Amino acid sequence: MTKLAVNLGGIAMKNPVTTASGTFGCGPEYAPYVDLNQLGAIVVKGTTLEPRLGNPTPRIVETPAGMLNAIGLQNPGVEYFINSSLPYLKEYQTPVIVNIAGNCLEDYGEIAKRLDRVVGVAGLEVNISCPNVKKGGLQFGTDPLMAYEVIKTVRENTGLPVIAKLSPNVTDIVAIAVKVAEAGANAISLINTLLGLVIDIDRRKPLLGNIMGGLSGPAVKPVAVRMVWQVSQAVNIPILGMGGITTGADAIEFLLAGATAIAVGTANFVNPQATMEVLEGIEEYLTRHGIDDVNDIVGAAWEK
Amino acid sequence: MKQANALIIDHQQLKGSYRLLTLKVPEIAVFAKPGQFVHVRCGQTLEPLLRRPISIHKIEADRGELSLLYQVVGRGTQLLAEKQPGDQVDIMGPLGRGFTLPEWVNRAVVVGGGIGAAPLLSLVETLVIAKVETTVILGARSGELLIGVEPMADLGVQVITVTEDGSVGQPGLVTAALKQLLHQVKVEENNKLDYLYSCGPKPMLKAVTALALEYNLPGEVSLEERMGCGVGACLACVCKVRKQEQMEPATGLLKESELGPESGAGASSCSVNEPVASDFSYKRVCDHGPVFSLGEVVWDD
Repeated sequence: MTKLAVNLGGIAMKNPVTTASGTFGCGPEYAPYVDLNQLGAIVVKGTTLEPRLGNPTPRIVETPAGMLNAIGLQNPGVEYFINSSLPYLKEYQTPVIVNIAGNCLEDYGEIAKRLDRVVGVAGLEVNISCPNVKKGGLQFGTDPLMAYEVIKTVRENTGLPVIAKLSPNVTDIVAIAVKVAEAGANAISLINTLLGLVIDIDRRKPLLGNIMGGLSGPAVKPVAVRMVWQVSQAVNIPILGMGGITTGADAIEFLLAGATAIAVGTANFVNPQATMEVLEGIEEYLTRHGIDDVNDIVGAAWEK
Repeated sequence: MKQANALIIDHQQLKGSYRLLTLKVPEIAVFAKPGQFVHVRCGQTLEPLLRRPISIHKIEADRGELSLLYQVVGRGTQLLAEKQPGDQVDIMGPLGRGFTLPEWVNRAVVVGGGIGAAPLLSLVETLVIAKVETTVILGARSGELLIGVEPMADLGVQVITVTEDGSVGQPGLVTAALKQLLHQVKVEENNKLDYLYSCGPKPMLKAVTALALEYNLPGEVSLEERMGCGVGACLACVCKVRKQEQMEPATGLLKESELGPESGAGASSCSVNEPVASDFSYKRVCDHGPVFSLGEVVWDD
């Protein structure tokens, strides 16, 4: 019987498969199609202190083997999440990781503190691809020192496992990763979306309401695998890899590149059973290659 | 709500780019209601990537069948158009909230524009069964683009056709025909139209809504919007709606009185100067919709 359990920076997962924040709602949306108890963990959509309206439409557009999204973090706020969304998830035996976002360091500190002892929350995934309004809107995740500050602030306000979710829109992902590890992150997740733009040639204007959006889906996979490869060899904390995973084979690539666990995101839109098919594919690969424990292949591609 | 491999029983090319696809899929057909849609995987590969949401045209629950009336407008629908009877199509559904029929409705008008006629057939079938006196107005830019007329007429309801270029039916816009009808019913029949249903291009819906409100006519519109997941998870497909009194789940709506530090835990110290619009919020077309009440939708200029 293949061992599938992994530990993501203190979060015990029964298998390496989780959901990418923003693609799986908060549980009830995909429950008719997937047994949530079969997932290694669920990462719910980005939550902010206060409710956010989100961006004007259009919020998505299909691109070659992918899509752009500019949702704008629409969410009902952390209080609603705790009181109304979390009770549903607590019925399941699957750890819940809450993705958090903010506009200044204080926001991150407060929301981390708010979620700190909430029963049912197994960990926090920190979205650092947000603009820091106190630094002219520069994204936290694009600057190693700002990334350090935000993770440190979260670290100081919670005892929960902290996963730093990195933006790929940087020159040197390793520099960012090293700083967030130094700041006390228990794990790193990557990649978030790649910044892109589509022009509507009929209207002769950018198609999205927000002009730019984040690229996800199969098109980004090679960039994501490359970054997992680089980061996992530069830090000692586990990696949650994501970016275009649609099959078990895709997931295995990420594990071999150095990820301890993986997340399935955009693929859910195409195939609501994607998480389960990826899990089955991972199991099938391990069985076929006589590998007893999934942890044995983490970073196996590094060997010369 | 299920995912199923529906069997194609029939796939007809109607005029122009319109197609009629008949599917045998009892596990979905049995639960389908007028105004709902299915999320269709058009190709086998990852390119084009996303499913296409297509409204349900006709429901035959006892035979376990549904029909989709759609228009070939891009690569997804082009791939769908190439499928043959005997092939399977991976669909999710039935999705969304469909049309409602309040029990006090005795006289209804149904207005469709172009491919907007598609979800209206099963609605009109329901109205006929419920013995609601129904008038249908279907319009398009030209006769070539006008669709859905014959199946409606076969139900025995009055169907007024309108084309902008006058090639078929009355020349002009559906709103002119609607205005004529509203006036006529008010003056001649001395009986009120109780309810309006509509589906079509946004500018048409905006004008139809304005007219209905002018005549104090309640009703419902069916909207479409680019969709990602189709099940309410991704928040891509939202529509602007008027602010409600209570905090709405997953809309990001915030009561005015809840802004500011005195509102307690959750107040951000750098509360982004987001235009927390005091007059609208966003609701998902795939989940709260695709059907919205007439007064609910905020139309952009």
